[in-house]
Amino acid sequence: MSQQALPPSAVDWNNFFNLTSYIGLIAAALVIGLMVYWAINNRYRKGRPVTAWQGLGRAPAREAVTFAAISTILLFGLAVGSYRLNTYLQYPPPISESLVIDVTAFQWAFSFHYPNNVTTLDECRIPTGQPIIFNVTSSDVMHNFGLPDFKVKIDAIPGRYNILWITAPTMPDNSTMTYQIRCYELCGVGHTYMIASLIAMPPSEFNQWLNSQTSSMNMTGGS
Amino acid sequence: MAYQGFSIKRWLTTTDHKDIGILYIVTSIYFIIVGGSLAELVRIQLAVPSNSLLVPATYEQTVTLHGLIMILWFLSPLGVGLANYFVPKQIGAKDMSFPRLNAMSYWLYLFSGVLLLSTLFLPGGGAGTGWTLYAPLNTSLYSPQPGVTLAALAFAMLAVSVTISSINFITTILRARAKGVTWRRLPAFTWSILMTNILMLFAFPPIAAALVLLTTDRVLGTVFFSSFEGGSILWAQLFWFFGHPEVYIVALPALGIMAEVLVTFAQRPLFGKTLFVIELSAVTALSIGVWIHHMFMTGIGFDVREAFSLTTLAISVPFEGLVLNLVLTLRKGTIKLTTPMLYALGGIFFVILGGITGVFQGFIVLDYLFHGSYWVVGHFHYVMVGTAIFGLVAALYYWFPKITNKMYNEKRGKILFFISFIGFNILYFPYFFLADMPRRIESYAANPQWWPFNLTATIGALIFGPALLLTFANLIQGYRKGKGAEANPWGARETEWTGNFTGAAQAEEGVAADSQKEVSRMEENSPVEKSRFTYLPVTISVGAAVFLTGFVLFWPVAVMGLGVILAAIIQWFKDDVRDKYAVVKEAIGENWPFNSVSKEKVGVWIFLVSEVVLFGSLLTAYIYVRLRSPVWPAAAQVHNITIGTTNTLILLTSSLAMILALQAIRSGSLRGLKSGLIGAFTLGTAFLAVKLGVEWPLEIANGFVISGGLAPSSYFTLMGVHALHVGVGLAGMTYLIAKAFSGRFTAQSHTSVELLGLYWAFVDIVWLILFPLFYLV
Ligand code: HEM
Ligand SMILES: [Cu+2]
Ligand SMILES: [Cu+2]
Repeated sequence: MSQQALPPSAVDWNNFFNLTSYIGLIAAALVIGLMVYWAINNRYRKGRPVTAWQGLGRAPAREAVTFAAISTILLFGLAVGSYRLNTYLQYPPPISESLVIDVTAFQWAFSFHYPNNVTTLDECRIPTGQPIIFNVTSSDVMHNFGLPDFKVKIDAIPGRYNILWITAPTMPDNSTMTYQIRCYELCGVGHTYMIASLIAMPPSEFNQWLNSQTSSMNMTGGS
Repeated sequence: MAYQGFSIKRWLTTTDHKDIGILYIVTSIYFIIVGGSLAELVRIQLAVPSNSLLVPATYEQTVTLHGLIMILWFLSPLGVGLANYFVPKQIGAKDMSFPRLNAMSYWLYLFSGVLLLSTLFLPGGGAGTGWTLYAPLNTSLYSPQPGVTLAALAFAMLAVSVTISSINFITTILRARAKGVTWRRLPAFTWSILMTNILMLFAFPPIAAALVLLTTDRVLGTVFFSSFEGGSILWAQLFWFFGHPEVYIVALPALGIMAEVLVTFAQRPLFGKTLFVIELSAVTALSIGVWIHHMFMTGIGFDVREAFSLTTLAISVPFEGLVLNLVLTLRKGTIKLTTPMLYALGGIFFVILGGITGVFQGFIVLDYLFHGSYWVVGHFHYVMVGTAIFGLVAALYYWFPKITNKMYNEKRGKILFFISFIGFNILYFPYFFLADMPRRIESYAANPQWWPFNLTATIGALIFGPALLLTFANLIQGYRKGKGAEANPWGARETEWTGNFTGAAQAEEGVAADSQKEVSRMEENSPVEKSRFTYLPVTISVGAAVFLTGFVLFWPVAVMGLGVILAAIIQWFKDDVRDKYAVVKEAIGENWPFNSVSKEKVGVWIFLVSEVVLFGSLLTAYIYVRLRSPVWPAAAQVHNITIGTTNTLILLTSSLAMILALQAIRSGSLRGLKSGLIGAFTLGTAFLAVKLGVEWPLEIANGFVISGGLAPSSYFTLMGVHALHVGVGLAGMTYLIAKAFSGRFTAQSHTSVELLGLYWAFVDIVWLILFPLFYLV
């Protein structure tokens, strides 16, 4: 996937992950570095004087407070960022602008139900550039509806409807992209093979496809 | 070791804490070999994108059993084993407060593990649900094989074992400290064990409750986890309320050990010991309030998730504080890189990476990708295998000379450390590149890009696994052929090595090292009195295993098991009436703030805490499904309020009789005691008779049957659990009555009456909560 063709949720995710990683890696390198340095540098050798056991009088209140303050500021600063991105993921655009697809997970496939009553199996076609709202449930055990390329997923739980929304990016050459859909919750012996595809196509092609489907039980497998 | 030679009888009947510690340690090592072999199978299966080694059903059962064994039957029991051996030594107690219960914890643990392993050989095999046993995959509709029921019951049996042992540890640490072992001077390892056991006390009753509900679902037709109102979310809530604290139960002992090892080999006091204890307590307290971070993708409320994201970030502050204390201990130290020290440093390395990746998952945005993927697997293997196993292996090496009086081979130990450390990273680091690969899949033919990372991980597994096995071999070799060790070969200053509880000698360097050696030697060799050996704990545990197996497979066998348990309990009571067992003398020194409370009373209070959590969990489940149900039958239609009220009065009167009995014996009246007890017993029996003999048949005749939906499911299950408690209380009264009639209670000595009085009051209070919740609203 070229850079400009990433879905917005993935762009957000990457940015936040990179920021968190820088901070995390620096912190880890610092502490591990100190540990290794002291472990090697202060190694017992002949003639090295042993610091007196009683040498530590002062309670390390200052260090503790400093550390707690720094890490709290860093963590909660990041938490604000996480909160904003999470709000974005949580609240989909209005239904009028979006395409709502009902997703039912079952052992061991996904079925997709479009507003015009078209139903497909293990293959979900969507238009690029338009928000898609998935209304996800399960008809047997707990599954998970995961779109790893979009860096999002949501549980599919019997008796519950969970919302997940995405926008598929428009490809530079207006081509069709196929993404993987996977189940991320162990759901029985077919869990491994609970894979479907998400086919993002230019809106005109998508409409053409949708209209060509008869609204009666049309269970297309692969095309 | 305390005893020379090997005798099966001794090991079956011992109640000595050192013996039981060794039994725990050896058994848990057996379980890691089983669980580790399963892991190697998994890794070999995943070495290539598609492999025919394990068929899907076998694969899922393999990962499930692997997870259950490693977390519950290996990691925490190994910690418990080390604690059994060294907590009493660190605090200067002669033994655990309740040695026979300590033995029983061990045997229940062992036989629950045997039950778990045996599920593999049942028709249909064991559970293939993952160690999280998610609903409704765990119900009989989707997992019909009896192995799942038996696995759930084995887990519940383990919960009983853990609860008993945590009561024992907490009481011991509160009540049995030697003179000089004040809270301030309590060693770091003992602190970590205290916190671990407090967590166990709060974490295991909820999972026991969940497993009771699962069992009634599977066996009696209740619908807690198959209904929409209960189902996946109810299970996940109960499971993770247990599951998250459980991960700290695994981690804290390892951190305590690292503190001990670092102090010894850096020759410095622990940096900021008080702070360390505060952080430990903060982690313990907070870890009860973060469980929703395992449910970020279940679609529960946005605000709830954000709140738990914050608590998760909050817990990482004291958690990483702990790590910093450890690292800063090195600052001015003089460091000896012995094998245990290397393992402790390795463990710190892993806890840093594991902790930081955990924080990543705490950010909900990032968890949108990580959840359910190999990234999470990477995170928790860094903390569980890295921190916990490396910490525990550090302990095995560190205390090896203390346990065996021998020295292991240091050079081999170090070489194996480096191989393990490198193998570990080759095994688990690639997982962080597999954030899009789902967990628990047995092939990835559709995603060949995952292959290099998986292959690398498998190569790591083939290095790390054998290295760990050789590590155990190195220890065994040291035990059999090692050179004799001095009593304190490391020059350690902690109490378990020095036997110096008042800290007097610590002011001057190197004082009286020789005489200290004598003290610990002599203590090691002191023979244990005969009266402390008993077959009853092992018998009861075997009985329990037989009962549970029969319950699942063949009812008559269950009756046999029940018979064995009852006979053993009666024998236990008889032994007590005859004062057959030497009671461990109570301490000697520090027991603030429990100076005036007997250890039995402390124990019963702690037990009641676990009971409160158990009933609290069951009630929460009931209220939860009820609030989520659109319709619920009106109480007046299904229950007979007259019978309910009558029964309430009967039980209240029974409690009154119990109070009168207690007052009578306090003022020395044996007659008053007898009549009070008989009154309480009769009324309690009447309660059960009305409940089971009159009320239930009436309700069932009216079509209110247990399998008829959530209302009868919750009613019969909660009432059933309460009735069971009434039954236990009645059994206790039988014992008291027998003892009263043999005239053994006096105004001064009647602890067991007090204890049963407490318990009976508790059972009453539970009823007073259940009654309105079922009959009135
Ligand atoms: C700063 C400390 C830690 C933080 C912030 C943290 C955070 C998390 C989070 C948010 C998850 C859920 C991920 C998901 O499933 O989407 C998780 C999973 C897990 N963590 Fe941690 N963690 C920490 C330390 C530990 C420690 C010390 C252990 C054990 C020794 C541990 C063991 C686990 C396990 C076993 C799981 C996965 C359970 C499963 O799904 O099977 N964590 N952790
Ligand atoms: Cu699935
Ligand atoms: Cu957790």
